[in-house]
Amino acid sequence: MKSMRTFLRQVGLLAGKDLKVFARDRGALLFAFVFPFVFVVMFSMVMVWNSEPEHMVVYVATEEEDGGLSRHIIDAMVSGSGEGLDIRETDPDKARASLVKEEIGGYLLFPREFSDDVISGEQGAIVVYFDPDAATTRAALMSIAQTVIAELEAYRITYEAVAELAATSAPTGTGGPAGVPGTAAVSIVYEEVGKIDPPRPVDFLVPSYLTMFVFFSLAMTAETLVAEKEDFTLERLVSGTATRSSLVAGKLTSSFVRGLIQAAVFWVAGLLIFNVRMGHYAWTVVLVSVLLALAASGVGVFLATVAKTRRSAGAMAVLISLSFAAFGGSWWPLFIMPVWLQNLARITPHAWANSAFNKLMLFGASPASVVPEITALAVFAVAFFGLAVWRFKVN
Amino acid sequence: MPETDFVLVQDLRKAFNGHMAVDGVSFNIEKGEIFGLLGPNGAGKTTTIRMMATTLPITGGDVIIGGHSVHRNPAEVRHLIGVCPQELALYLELSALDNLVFFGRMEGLSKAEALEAAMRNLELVGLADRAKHRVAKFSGGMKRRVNLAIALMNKPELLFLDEPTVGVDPQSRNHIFDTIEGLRDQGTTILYTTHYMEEADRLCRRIAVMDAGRVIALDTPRNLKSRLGDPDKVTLEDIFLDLTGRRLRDAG
Ligand SMILES: Nc1ncnc2c1ncn2[C@@H]1O[C@H](COP(=O)(O)OP(=O)(O)O)[C@@H](O)[C@H]1O
Ligand SMILES: [Mg+2]
Repeated sequence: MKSMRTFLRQVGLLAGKDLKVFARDRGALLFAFVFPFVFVVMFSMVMVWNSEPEHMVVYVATEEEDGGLSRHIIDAMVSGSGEGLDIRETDPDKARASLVKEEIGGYLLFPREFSDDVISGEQGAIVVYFDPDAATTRAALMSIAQTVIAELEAYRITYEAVAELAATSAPTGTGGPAGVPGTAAVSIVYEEVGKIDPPRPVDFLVPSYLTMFVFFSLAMTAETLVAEKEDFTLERLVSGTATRSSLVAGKLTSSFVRGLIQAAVFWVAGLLIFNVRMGHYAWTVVLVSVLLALAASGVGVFLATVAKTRRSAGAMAVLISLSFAAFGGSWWPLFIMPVWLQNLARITPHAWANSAFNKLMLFGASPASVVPEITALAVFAVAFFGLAVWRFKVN
Repeated sequence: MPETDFVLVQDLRKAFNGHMAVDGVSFNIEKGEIFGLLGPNGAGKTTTIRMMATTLPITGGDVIIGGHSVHRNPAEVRHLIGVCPQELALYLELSALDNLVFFGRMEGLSKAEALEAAMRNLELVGLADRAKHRVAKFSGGMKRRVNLAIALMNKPELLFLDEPTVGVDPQSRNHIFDTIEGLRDQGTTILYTTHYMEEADRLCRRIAVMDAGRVIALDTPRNLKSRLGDPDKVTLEDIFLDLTGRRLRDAG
């Protein structure tokens, strides 16, 4: 009991000392708090969404009887689908069942009244069913639906113009052909999570740069821990009453607090300056940020037990931070990478954090769908902290 | 053994990759005395201190401090000792006061106690007026004084001073000497290492001369020197030559 109190007290003192040192280090402050925003501003200006997948299978189904408008559209789509995009027809019940079983990411459905609505001038609808986790599929379905609508619209306008011409030059009495819509338009209806706004670059950039920079600065904690070895302050501490675990926990704590401050600055600036949308569950986004900071701190103190000198610790931290950022979805979205690479990326905390942020912020996912990400980040934190305490040597 | 012996070093040994850096060192330090470890670079002085201060595992032998073995009871030993290491062990980005308060609190002092002790110790080393200045801006000698002041934060009964005057200007050196003598007068037991004979001569009641991991002589400075004639002119070099028949390999 008493030793627990001593431990916590020492952890607090060690962390407080680190934060004081950090607060006096202009370079580190600049790197942690200013640098990231320069990046976000630059990239939000130049970044365009260009996320064509390599090859994709998309399913469409119709509830209409044969001879409906959708029949022609689907036939045209299926015969027109080629290398990159493979459009296949299926029947509505099968499609629904496959989606529920997560065999497919989503499908387009032409409802029973589609032709009637379009022809009679009612507001028609194409329904996009999708799994919130299947981001690419959703994006593809959305753009296909939009294409269909655009084509129908063009067809309608042409048809009207021709009809107009015919009406003025032809003998009276013919009129327009029955069923040609006057004001018909087709909209897209999203099912599963309702309507959400299309993703914007900042909603990707802010969280993915948060991941990159928070991890980067916290990985550099390795350098400060090794520096204390080289500067003999660690030896001084252990010749007193500090223990190995309190030394490592103190470092982890100060690193974690820095990460929290950095993440808070990201979100506040993101909301105020970039008008970022955190999705329907902002607290889950916050939780993911907290766990990321913890996991990155764990990696940071672990690196310190591997590196021999502060230079090598710094170099390792830089190398790992940059490669993990690229590979873990901080520079471009994970969901546009090939699946095998997405799977491999799971060895990085970045991939888990970014995947959670993307799901929550771009695709309106619920907390339940990011449980794996949250768990993985917690495991990273605990595992690396444990390894660090185990391996940590003062001499 | 006399009951005034506060420190017993018994056949202490340390091997680094098979090389004996400390090879069977034994000596006693009486309560309240300044005991000198004199020897050239590489003699094993620092290694001896680090084992005595519990930061380096011992290969053989033992050290008993205030009745506690560094080997079996390191936690008890740590409460009794203060270490002023050969290298500066400070946070350069922090002020002198912040350094002292931090290390003091790590030793269990409350904030108020640590502040009070820090100011007292900075006063002692002549840096009270620079308490709030960043250590990074200090001269080498001032940093050494901070290094010493930190070691005093837990009011140690036994103080290790490992070459505390290396690279120090005369003013700082005098401050350090005054501080050490003041501590001795208050009853602190001190182990002082140096490779300067004149320092050992001024401060130490007894000296162990070390070479290649062994103690090759142990006596008062006067007795060591009087074998060689004029006590005012004798240097470590002379004593070393006399004892070993060799010159210092590294008089650096
Ligand atoms: N951590 C270490 N690893 C290997 N050798 C060491 C280590 N520390 C000291 N030594 C060696 O032990 C010997 C004694 O060193 P040291 O105790 O520092 O001498 P002194 O303090 O008297 O100058 C030297 O040969 C030194 O190179
Ligand atoms: Mg030495």
